[in-house]
Amino acid sequence: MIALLLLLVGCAPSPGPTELPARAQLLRASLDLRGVPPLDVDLDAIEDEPELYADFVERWLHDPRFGERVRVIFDMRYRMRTGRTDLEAEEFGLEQSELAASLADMPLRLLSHVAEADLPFTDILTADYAIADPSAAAVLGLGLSRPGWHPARWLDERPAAGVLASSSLWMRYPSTGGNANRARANALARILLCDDYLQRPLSFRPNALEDNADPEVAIAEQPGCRLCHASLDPLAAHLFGFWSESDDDPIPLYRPEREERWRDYADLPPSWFDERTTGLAELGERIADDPRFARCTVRAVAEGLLQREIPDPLELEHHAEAFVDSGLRLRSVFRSILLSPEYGELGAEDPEDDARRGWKLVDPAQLGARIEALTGYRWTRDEVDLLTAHGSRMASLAGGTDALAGSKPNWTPSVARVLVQERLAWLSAWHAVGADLEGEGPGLLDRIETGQRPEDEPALFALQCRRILERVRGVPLPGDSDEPEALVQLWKQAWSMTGSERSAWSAVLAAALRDPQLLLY
Amino acid sequence: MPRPTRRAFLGTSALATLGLPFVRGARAATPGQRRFLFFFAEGGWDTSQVFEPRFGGGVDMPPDTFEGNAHGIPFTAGPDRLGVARFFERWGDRTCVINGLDTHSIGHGAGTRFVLTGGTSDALTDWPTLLASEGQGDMPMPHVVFSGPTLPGPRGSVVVRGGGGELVELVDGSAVGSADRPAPVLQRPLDALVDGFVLDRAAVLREGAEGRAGEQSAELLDSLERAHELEARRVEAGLELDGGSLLDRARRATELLRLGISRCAMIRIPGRWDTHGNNTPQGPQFDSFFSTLDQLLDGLAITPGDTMPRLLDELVIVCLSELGRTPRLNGGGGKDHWPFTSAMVVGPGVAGGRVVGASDAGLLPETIDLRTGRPSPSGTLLGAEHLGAALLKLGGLDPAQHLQGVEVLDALLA
Repeated sequence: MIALLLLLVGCAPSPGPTELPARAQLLRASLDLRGVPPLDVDLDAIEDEPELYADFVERWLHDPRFGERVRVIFDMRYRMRTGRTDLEAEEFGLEQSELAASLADMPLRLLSHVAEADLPFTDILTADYAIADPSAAAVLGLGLSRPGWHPARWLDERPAAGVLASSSLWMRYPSTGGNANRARANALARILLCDDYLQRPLSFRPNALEDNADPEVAIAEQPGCRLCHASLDPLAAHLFGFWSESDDDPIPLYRPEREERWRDYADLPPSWFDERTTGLAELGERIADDPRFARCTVRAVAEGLLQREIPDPLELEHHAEAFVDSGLRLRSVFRSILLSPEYGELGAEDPEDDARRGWKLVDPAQLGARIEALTGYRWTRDEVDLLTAHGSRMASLAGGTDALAGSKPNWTPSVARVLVQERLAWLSAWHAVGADLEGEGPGLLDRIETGQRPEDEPALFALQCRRILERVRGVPLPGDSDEPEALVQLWKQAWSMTGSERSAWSAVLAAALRDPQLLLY
Repeated sequence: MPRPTRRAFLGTSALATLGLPFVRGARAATPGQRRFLFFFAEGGWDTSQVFEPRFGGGVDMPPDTFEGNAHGIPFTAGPDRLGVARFFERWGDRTCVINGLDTHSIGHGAGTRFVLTGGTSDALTDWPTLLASEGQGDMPMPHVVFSGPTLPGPRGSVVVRGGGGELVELVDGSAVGSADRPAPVLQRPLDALVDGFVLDRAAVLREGAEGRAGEQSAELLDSLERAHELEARRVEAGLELDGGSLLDRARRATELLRLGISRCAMIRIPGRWDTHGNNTPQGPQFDSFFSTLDQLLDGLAITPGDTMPRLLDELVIVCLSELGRTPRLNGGGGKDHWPFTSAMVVGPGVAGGRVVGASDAGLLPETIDLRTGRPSPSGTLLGAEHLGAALLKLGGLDPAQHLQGVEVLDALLA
């Protein structure tokens, strides 16, 4: 491992600590907090003064792009960004994808708003407002017209319960008649408490279920069923204000007259651990007071940042303490993790720790941002960004969350992921080279001029290839590296095959942009 | 010490892989050489519609149906499911039905995880991924998921999701032509040269890495090599062929398996199986599926295999669903989730003409002897983990290495 680290910074392998080099750690922090790589000037600064790392973290925690990273991380749990909505967007004068994206982001925007405003994170459960844009507001009657995302008051009588009172959350998690809001209640437990009832192993023995039993009777009476339903059904009973009577009622707006409909289904009143509650607003407060909510929040951030499952709360104790000490400000969790030893290490002496501390893999948005920072190219089709659009299959193939299928991000390399990188590398190389040859590009071809040939200028071509590799990798190349010469040979072969200067340089740049290190960070 | 890479093993270079020959042996197919095609009915199928004919008891059976039997396998027959009857009559001797399978869950997500991995942990790997990653040979797409669930756990690098659409565009490079700012497709000889540079770079990274980073570097190198080989063999694989029907996808999948490009494939069985509101679509959906299986097996019977004269004798078909459905209809004419389900396995090494596992007149399972598959008061309640252990054994893996302490459902095996 050490050998690899030193190879990356251009040094010979030798024994030493396992910390990431300062530049690599800064890249990691920048991608995690802003979704984009650092500027060259920042990389140079951290190399000169590694102790500046904490300052960079602090600055980037207040970067305008931090909110989107919060939304990306929490969508791994909320699974809102499906790219779909059952509503007819045309009825509201909107594009289907536009409406789907606006509705999907409403709960996530509330989370990022609370985080960026440094409010207690429990506000996501008690807020008496939503965060909406004009598209979502038009559908939900929020009375907001100015562009962008802003706090907006609900115009109905819904309780002040933050995401619990979000109609768009209940559009994402509907409930069929017989289900009686149980799926919704489980979504809350999974998202907010990290307690997925459907992940609980059940052991139905044949004699545990009476032959021909009515499921509702079994749920109420059988011990094996009551184990879950005794707490799930009272949670579900809080949600009948958003109950849809039929398919003709597709928008789960709040209707106070339906609050009591739980009596028609499970007949268990709204309560929290056997204590009757007054309704959804109190449920929000009870969840906010539950230590599991804070622990689950920390776990969501840690799993997103460290890219592994962390079911053991003891492992997160330090970060949880930081969260509590800050008055439950979300930035404190990010800060605690980014400044922790684990985050900055690529290995450890202890085998168990060593198995956890490896490279991170860029998500589709981060990959797109890294390539764009180098070449200025973004991959769109029909004006849709293939790596960031909600529900994009290309993003899913590149390892992103598939919110509709409920699958988590893929945190391992895969064939599809490298194929996405390959095609994006070629596209961006083709356009960057084309622009550079006309003197209007990102300046990756900053040493050669049109018409020059390697036979005439071998040293110049080798230097240009070296500079391309260094720009892409962000680190100096070892002086004796044979890679520049390999790229020169690639240029010659591409030239002989195509007779095109643009094709030859595009092949060289694409080869550099397909560097495995662009997938790892 | 770095393990040998696929590239070293294959002895390939960037250009050499432009035309990889297929090497066919004359050996008999061993368990390790068997390929697996998984079908999955997402939503929870109603086992009484085919696998568990329970007339005169506590199960609401579909109207106008009766109990049929072929090759010793009882099934629900009727005028609206002739495809089911035809399948069992023609292929029942190669088919084993598993009933009373405990999924330990009444939720789709958890049921899927149990049925495919035998447990609840996110770290567990599903049966097809395990079979693909641990099987013999070195394939560019070890497990291809056309549709349906995949739970690769830590073995994501052997899984390729999406057997058509975007994946095809990525493999053949046409994705670059449909961008708003397009580029000409990079032609294969030049593409292969670029691949060569990237593979060399990845190999250097791999050699210098240890621990978890070393594993990741190796996985990345593997992925690059598999992608490179896949690009070279895309025409053989028929990836360009598109087709919307289940039979089209199944045939494309079996071609990938035949060519040694993949060892396992997963395809979702079309239809709405989560029939809470109306249970009637289950029958026609089953009939359509069995008709497709019948046609697929017809094709396998006349397709040469890799090590056997017929692909039919190399390919195992596994049909699963994450849940069953309640014996009785609910008030809306639908059936709700039931924690016991059925499965079906067809192919070489399978004890054909056999029903393994048992359930009573109300679809409640009985304990069985895992060696015989028959009811036994002192036996075991059949779980998805026992079936999984048998599938691993069928594929030449040692179940004990992956499912410690789990008994194998030996009754499934010939």
